[in-house]
Amino acid sequence: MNDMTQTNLERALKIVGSRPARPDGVDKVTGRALFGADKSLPNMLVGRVLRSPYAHAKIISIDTSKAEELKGVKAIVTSTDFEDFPSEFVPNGEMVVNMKDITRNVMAREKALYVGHTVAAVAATSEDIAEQALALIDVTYEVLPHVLEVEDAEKPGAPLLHDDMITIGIEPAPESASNVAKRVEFGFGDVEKGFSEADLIIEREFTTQQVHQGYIEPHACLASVSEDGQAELWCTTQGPFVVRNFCSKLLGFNAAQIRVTASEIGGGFGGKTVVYLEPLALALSRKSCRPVKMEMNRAEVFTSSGPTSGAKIWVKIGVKNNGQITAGDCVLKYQAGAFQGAPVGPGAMCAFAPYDLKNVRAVGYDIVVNRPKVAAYRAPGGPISEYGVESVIDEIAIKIGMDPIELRLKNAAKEGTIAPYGPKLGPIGMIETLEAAKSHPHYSAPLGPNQARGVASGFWFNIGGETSSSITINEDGTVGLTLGTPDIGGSRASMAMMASEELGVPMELIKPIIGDTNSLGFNFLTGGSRATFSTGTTVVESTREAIEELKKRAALLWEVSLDQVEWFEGHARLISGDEPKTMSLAQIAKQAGKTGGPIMANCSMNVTGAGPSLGTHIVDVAVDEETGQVSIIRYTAIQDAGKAIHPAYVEGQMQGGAVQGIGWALNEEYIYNEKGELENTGFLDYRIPVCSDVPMIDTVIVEVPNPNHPYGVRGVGETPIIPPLAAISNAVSRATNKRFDELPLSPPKVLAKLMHG
Amino acid sequence: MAQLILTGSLKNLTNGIGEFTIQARNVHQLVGELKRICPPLAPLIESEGFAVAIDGEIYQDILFAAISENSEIHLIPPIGAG
Amino acid sequence: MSKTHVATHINGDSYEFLCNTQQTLLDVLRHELDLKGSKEGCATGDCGACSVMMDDRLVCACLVLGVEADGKKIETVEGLSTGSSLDPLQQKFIDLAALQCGICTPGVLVAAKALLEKNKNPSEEEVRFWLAGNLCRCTGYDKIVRAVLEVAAEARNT
Repeated sequence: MNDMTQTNLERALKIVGSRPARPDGVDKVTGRALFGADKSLPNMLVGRVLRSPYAHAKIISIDTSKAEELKGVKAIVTSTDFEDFPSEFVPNGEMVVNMKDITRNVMAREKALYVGHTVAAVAATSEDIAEQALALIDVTYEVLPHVLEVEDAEKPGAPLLHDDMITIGIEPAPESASNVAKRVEFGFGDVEKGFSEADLIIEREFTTQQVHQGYIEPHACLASVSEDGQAELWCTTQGPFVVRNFCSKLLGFNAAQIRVTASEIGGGFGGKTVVYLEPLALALSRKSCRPVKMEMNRAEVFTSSGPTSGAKIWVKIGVKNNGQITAGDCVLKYQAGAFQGAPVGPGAMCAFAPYDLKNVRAVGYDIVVNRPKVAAYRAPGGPISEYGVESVIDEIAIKIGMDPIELRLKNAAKEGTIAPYGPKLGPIGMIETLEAAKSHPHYSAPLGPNQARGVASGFWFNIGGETSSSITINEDGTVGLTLGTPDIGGSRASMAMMASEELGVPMELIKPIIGDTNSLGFNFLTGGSRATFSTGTTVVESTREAIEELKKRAALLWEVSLDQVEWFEGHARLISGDEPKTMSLAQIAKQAGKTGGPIMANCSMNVTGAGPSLGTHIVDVAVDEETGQVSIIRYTAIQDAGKAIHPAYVEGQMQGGAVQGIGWALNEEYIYNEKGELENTGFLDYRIPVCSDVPMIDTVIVEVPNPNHPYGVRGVGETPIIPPLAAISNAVSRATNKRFDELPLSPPKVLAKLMHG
Repeated sequence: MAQLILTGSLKNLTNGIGEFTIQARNVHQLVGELKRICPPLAPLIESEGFAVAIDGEIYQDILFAAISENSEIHLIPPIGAG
Repeated sequence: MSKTHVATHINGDSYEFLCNTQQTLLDVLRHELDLKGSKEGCATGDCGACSVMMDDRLVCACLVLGVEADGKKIETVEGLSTGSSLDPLQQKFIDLAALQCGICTPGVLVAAKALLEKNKNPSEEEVRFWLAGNLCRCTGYDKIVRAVLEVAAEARNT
């Protein structure tokens, strides 16, 4: 509980809950807004990266001498320009990272571990010269056999990516190295006993492929280090403070030496929470003492940033004939890519979290393979594990002749349920979203020929974390907000709305900006569905503090004690006295200089009390049995937002997440050849949903308030990508009377199953 | 007395013991207690980013989150943000 | 290799610049002319973030060479508004929250405007297929399509 909050849950709200124009809207629709690649500086160099052509190879030597002689080349960096670190987990805000792995992913050291792995970087006076320089760098590799799939990586005798990788979480610890970084297990009760009590047990294995967040804006940055070691970095990122942290450690700067400014960000979804180009650009700039601009091209985004895991999932669920689940068990094997850190822990924790179970177990394995190191992708780990569980639940519903929503209602988690990962849940909206789905017209709408309907639910934790924001009262009574979490989806509008609600002044008088890393205390990144929740909390708290100061100034001017002044609709108001006296914010602000100085407040805290968000989606599909094509006919997304500050942007998160899930379910996958080279490195063949692939995405926002936020907000950004995978697979299974167990359900795969079973 | 409840693979670190009675008024003291009664658990909170759930509420890196007399405590591994 | 001199019209203004023959129109717009509103998402004509009009035809600027702009009429997102008046599409996108991160928005707006100039009464399906060349990863397209349909309806009613 954030002790400072008093909730507004009962108050009638004036602006929170409405749909005003976002403050940055005009800049975005006119092309004026500046994204990562949109900034330039005088004397600027262009940086390009030399990338490994091999999936797995020892780097024997790198000779940059010929490249250095090329006219126009001003700096070259390799692993010698970066610090090495022992294997050690260190925090970066609420993230925990292993710097030994991070430095090697940013710049390979002993080995290249995936095609596209950074081996060197060059800064030159033009892109052409930089590319020519790359071709002049001589790298001697010793090519090694590679491995791409988890089940191959686990086999004894598999090529070893790290010869010091001893699996953590196995007792006793293995004697020799393997590609299994970690084993985790969650759960309680006795699953074997639970299965013995079941009338029906369904067990199934699922396969999902590696997919990418698919943000349209590639990674880009502009670094400028001057002769005295001061660095300015402009980059597209979900977390400028996190970037500062990574770059300082990697390059031996201290935090005061690097100022990071986040550009507008063209999509992230978790993929822009780590660094790729930024340390390279800083290192090149430090060497040349000139600004260095770097951009990834689209192929590099796919080969060399951080997609999410492909996986193997095994699920076993037992039920009684009345639908009561007696036990749930799963084993998850997730690809980590070149370095440990697949999101298998969270995947295991939330696999069964929508349900109230007495006997539950989830085991996860984090397995390295010669693919890029995975990064977060919207509810990292959750979509994969919940796809398996939600699919088996559907199969059970069919087998026992129960409606799939009724089956979920019968077992739904609610306040007081013990989550599979241990603690009791606070108020959540699982039942509410299920009831809303059941009573939605979509659920009872007639289906056309070759069409079927699928349902699935989803659970994601959401997080809080370190947050800092400030509010200034300008001399004319308008207001400035400085926020520390980049605005990816319209959140700065919601922040201005909350400040407007607290102050009682129109939103048009409030200007929110995203501050650089010098303007505020540490902010953890935008992600984890935390911005509206955490930054919103600090905005409300700092606004309340500013209001206290405004009241003090009014009390001074009225020569009364503070307790005789209240704040009402943008005015200080004298509580006692014969005649009503008010003083507007503008009037107080005008005299701020004379009554004590400028009025400003900030709130910096580690925000706690994030509430999980539950969602249930309904999808109608048509399956063309001749071509295997699956079409989405109708889609409804229902989710608990706690409180929708700006409903249009909450709807936007639900619609965007649902369509990413549609892509994941129907078409998206990394396709590697036998050399470990990614074959579909562009949007033509890594096909994300286009406008004509999807219908309107209808949305229903359920509000089960989160008592730990002044307005009841729950994070909403991540949950909506979870239900679509199983909802669509369930619909396709029902349409064809075959049980599908792998993603994506692309036409060749659907056809193969229809033909061969 | 507050109870620390461990499930799943965390019990590997405690020789299978799933419950500890804890005398601590906040997370900082909890870490100190763990160093005394079950040392392998302390680094989880100190350096591996584990959050502490106290009576259902998750506290990440909040050293002085209050633990009351009857609190139920769980350890939660780091959750990624996407 | 010497550069080629190009004279063109962009958003109603005359421009002259020098460029290499291998530079695309997108490169030229962004790097020679500082018109950064058109975005590079892929440089292979798949994402539509660089959509511009060339002699009244919707094209991906990354698939047009800079030298091809010689003598042509180019319209980019920067030319959609007039003075301080936004194009109805721009205003509607703000009103209906038809953008989230905004990176695809310039391309989508140029493409949508091209559609409405050709077809004053597009169906939902026609809007979706016309915009199929403009990738958006944030919105799921729902509010974008609604915005375009509403602008078309309002234009027909005035």
